[in-house]
Amino acid sequence: MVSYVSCIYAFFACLAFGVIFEAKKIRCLLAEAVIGAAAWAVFLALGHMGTEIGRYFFAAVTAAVLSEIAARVFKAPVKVFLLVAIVPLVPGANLYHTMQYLIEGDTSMFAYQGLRTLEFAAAIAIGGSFVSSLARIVSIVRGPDAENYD
Amino acid sequence: MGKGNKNRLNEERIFNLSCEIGHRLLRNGAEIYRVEESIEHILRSYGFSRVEAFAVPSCIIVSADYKETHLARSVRVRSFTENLEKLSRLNDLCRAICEELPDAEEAEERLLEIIRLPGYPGWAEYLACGAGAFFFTLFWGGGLLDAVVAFFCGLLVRLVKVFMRKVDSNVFFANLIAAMFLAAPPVLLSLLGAPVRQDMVIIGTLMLLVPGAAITNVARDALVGDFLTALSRLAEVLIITAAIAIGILMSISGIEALFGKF
Repeated sequence: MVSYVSCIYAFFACLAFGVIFEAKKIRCLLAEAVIGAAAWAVFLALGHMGTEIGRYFFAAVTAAVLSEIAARVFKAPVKVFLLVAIVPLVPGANLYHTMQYLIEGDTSMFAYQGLRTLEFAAAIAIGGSFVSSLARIVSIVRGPDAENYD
Repeated sequence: MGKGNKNRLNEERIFNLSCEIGHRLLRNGAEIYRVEESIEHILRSYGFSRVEAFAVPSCIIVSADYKETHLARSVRVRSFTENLEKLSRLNDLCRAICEELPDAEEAEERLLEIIRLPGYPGWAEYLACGAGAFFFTLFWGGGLLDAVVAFFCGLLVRLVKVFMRKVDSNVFFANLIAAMFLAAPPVLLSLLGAPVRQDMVIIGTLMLLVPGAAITNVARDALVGDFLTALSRLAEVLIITAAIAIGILMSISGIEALFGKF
């Protein structure tokens, strides 16, 4: 059984980052934090997947889809939500361990861990922006009248 | 030509206004395509023709024709921050201007209102940095004591960042120094025998510095087709990451050199 306690931490961490990034409307702040926590919940729920890259990708896609929805509900750019919601996915621990191996002089582990960090970052980046490109195409196909909050 | 006619559209002011809106968008963290499109939309709505806007993270170039007048301007952008409230309001302003076509004076007033918008008070920013580090330490599996130490490390990071901004330091050095200060307290504490897990504290606080959100911007710019912007932002991400790594490394190995292996 996976523990989802860390989702609560992710929620509050996102709130803090919302303030750091100067998001002022309370409803936007809350939406950002909820989306961040939801993305992390998806990451945890996909624990059975063999590849961690896949988990990061789908978690980022979740964050992006929810951000697109929130952007239309709250009439604000998608970035307002996505910027904060993606923060819990950032592989900070991998970055630290990469450094740790560097200090310990374990070059092969350093290279391995460094590459993994890059892979995760790329998975998040592509997952997060893939959706917005898709949403842009959808809104163009729907015509110029459709409200476009990309 | 009705020169001096007050009802005439003041094309130069509108043109400058659109450049200023683009500038402000870019400075508050808008994507490049949003900057370019906003400028083009505003100018087209006011009847400018042959509108061209080109933006990269450090510069905006705009040119347009209005009847017989040809206007061009370039804006150098020196720094940018992520300010979601201003970004969102500038976006709204841009929409409103395109729909309502207010005169230059009113539009300028509304832009100034957004520029002057106060941010969070200083103490809230400090608290947010502390809280961010606190919850991320718990998030990555640290204990309550680790999180409390991380809270103070978060405050320290904020303090260093504010100072480095005041002395107008470059991104690399600012992040390097911040990372050094971030790593020192947990390493010293665990050296003194306090039951603090230094890796947890460092990872939690590290999240304040890691340009995690910026990597999605890079991918976004690349997918939209702004490769120049994507490359320059990617360079920024890599340099900041390297600075953080080097800072923490210097801190840990410096303490080790002074006090011996622990």
